Amino acid sequence: MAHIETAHLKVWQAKAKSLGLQVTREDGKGEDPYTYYYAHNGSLIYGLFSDANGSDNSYGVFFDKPKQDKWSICS
Amino acid sequence: MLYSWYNDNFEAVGIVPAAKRQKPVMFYHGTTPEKAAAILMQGVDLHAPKSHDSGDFGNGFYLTLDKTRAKHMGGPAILEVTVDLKFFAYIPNPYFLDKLQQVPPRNKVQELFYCAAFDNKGEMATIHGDKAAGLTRQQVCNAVQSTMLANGFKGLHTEYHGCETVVYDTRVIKSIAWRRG
Repeated sequence: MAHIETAHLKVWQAKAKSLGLQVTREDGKGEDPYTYYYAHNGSLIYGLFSDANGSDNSYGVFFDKPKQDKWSICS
Repeated sequence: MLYSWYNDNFEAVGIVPAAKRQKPVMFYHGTTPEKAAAILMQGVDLHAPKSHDSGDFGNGFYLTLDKTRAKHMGGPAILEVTVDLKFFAYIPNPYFLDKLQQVPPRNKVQELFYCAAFDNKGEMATIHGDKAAGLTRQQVCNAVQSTMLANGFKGLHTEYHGCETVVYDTRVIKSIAWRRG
């Protein structure tokens, strides 16, 4: 993974920790070679980091529980 | 109030059985991790490109009670989606087949769906498009959604493929959760 993606991942992991969430890595199977990191509380998933196969398109997001018919990013 | 005069005869007239109308029902929706995250952040977009196809029962958000099928059809991220089925059409077999023989619609709701989803040769236009009318598959699927909504149906609940269910109006979605495993 390139340096910039590693930096993004570290920021995302720090945010997950500040939200009291655990992070679990999972490698994509079959035709999907991406690596995913899930931020969760042991049960529900509240965040996703995708390394986009080590490319510049890596990204990390967090989300909260649905609020009426709208969902919000909590980062 | 819509339906109130035939509440006790749901199967004959095409509304969801009473047991499933009393409280929201939890279904599964399979998708990719990226799309699951987008749904949780932005809500369900009924016009987003489908990962599999346009859907045999019209344009909408597809759900099933069968977790394995959800994964197979959509992807490894399984969302738990709770839906209020009160204003759904109920058609146990929307393909109108019995041992591969076509059977006619048996009530007004089935006729409504059949007229929108099938062409004049009796073939399912949501799968093949409607060549005689010059409509693509997606256009037929959009027409099915519009027709059902115009008649007060927020979705369609079936007994096919793990009670495959399609949401035509996202306001019936009460909650969405993404659970590990």
